[in-house]
Amino acid sequence: MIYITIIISCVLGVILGLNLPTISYSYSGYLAIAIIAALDSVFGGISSSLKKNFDIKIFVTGFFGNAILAMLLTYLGERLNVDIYLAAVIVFVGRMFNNLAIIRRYYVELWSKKANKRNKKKELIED
Amino acid sequence: MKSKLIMLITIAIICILLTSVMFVQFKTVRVVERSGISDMRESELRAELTSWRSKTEEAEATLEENKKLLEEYNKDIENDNSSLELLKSELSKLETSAGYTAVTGKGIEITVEDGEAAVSAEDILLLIYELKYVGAEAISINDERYVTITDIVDVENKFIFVNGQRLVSPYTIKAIGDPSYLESAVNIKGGYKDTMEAEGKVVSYKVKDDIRIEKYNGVMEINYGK
Repeated sequence: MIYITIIISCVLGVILGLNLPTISYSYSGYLAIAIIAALDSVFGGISSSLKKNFDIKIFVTGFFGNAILAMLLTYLGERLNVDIYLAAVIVFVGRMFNNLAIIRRYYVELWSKKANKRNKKKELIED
Repeated sequence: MKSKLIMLITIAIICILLTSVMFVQFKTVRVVERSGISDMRESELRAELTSWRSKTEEAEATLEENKKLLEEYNKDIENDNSSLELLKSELSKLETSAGYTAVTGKGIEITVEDGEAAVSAEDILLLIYELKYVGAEAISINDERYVTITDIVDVENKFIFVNGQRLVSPYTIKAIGDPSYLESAVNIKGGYKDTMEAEGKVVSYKVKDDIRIEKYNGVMEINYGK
């Protein structure tokens, strides 16, 4: 059920995004950093759901809060002539890798457990 | 059940939002890539912008200077034009007075004919002097323009040479000037008309509003004067 919802809404999003007008280049930097923050939240949500401690409130607030905060920090950096968005990118992308690693380990462990079980079963049958 | 539905809707909204924003961004980046700006980093762009700004400023300064120069030139041209106009009007005035152009205007037409006595060159000259005295601006004898070098001489008491042309009676003298003055020069009591008629020559005149006096057809050459 949840996978179908995600797929349908992603397809809808793609169609919507392709039909929306392009934004001005000076704002595309903010949008990019917001996307990075949102992606970070999404991967965080996936990893937490795998750990069974997923909370929709935390996910939603993180999704929007991180995106808005990242944009505000980028704006502040532009005012201060400091590339703060680089720090945001490093933090978000670093966290994204962490979460991806968690997701990968989870599935690898899952797979190896299954493989072990199968092996054990085989051993039992052979024995 | 209800909380699950809310969760599904929330996730759907978030997915739509994220993917649509991502694709807008992809599109924007693709469009900007085509214009070539995206190849440059922000600092490069800033440097470029600054250099272009200074170039624009320079160009504006040059434009301003050139505008000023243009204005000056225009003024010069205007001055030249006005002096040229002055020269032209002066020239046309001189040409008119010298007899190089045909003239029209108010004036008088006098006919002097042989009567009992023949008209002599002196009679014509006398009339011309009288007319000049009252301010005639242009004079012609039988359409021969009277100019500074005009010769009026008798030839064998038969005809009169004017500008080298043979003329015979009647002589029509046209003059442009103040009609009343010109008229009085001819018909004043004891004046030209009376004198001529006393000598047995026929003089008649007509004051006209539009007299046309042709230009001098010869060439004025100056060979000896320096």
